[in-house]
Amino acid sequence: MPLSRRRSPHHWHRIFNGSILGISSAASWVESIASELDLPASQAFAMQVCLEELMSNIVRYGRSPSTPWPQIDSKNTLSISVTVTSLADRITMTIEDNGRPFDVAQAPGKVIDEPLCKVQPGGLGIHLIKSFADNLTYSRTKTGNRVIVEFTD
Amino acid sequence: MERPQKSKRRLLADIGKLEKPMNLEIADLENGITKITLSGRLDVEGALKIDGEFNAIAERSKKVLVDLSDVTFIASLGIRTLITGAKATANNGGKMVLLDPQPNVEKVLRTSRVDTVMPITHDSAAIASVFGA
Repeated sequence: MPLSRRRSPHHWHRIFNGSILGISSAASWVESIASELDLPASQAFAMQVCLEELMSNIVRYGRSPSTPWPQIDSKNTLSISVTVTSLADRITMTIEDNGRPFDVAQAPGKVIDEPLCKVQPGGLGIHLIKSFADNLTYSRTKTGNRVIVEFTD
Repeated sequence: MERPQKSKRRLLADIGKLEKPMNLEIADLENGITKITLSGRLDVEGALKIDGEFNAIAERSKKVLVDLSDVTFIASLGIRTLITGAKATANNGGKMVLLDPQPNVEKVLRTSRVDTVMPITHDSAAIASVFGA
């Protein structure tokens, strides 16, 4: 039976490896939460888009051999913490990582705005995050980055 | 004490396995059209899985129809796969057309303005005309 969203807030929290397998695991986990909450398909999909793009950015750019971020330990372990909170009128998804600083909220989004022959594939993720999230906030933490994404009813 | 039963969905989530991994099938249609049918999630993992085969087909074909009706999710890396393939087909003097994406997938495509560089159609009966045949 779906959880009632009118009750007190519910929280789910897990930590994933900063890897492609970690992204897939997180996607399945968030999908199961959306199912448990019986969220509308469009809202569940929006959560998936933001989760995928945010985690993908962290995995691809969170560590760089040329400029290693000191918060990643000697084994170069990148980890991503995901917390989903269900409130009466919205869902929040908090994603924290120990990677290099990157303010996704201030980063410019990109869309395809040239003919096919001139389009450079890639780089569309930030625009998708900002389009599918109802609100997006970023803050630096002692160990890395925190992004809070809101999805309103 | 009896352990509570977990749902199939929860079990899949626990072991980190998505329900529908990406799959690619090819078929030759009339009028020289090569149909690529994709199914599953075109996410990071899915895009990496099909990139090589998708681009190889796109490079050697002039009319590529990509059936997206069984694609349940698409991420920016999935769009990258489509764009890279469409450029390869165009470099060969050809054209790529996207067929019948699900509403949420189509929303991602249109939000990114993919529709400005390759047509999206839901009319499988009019495919030949979309290719200009």
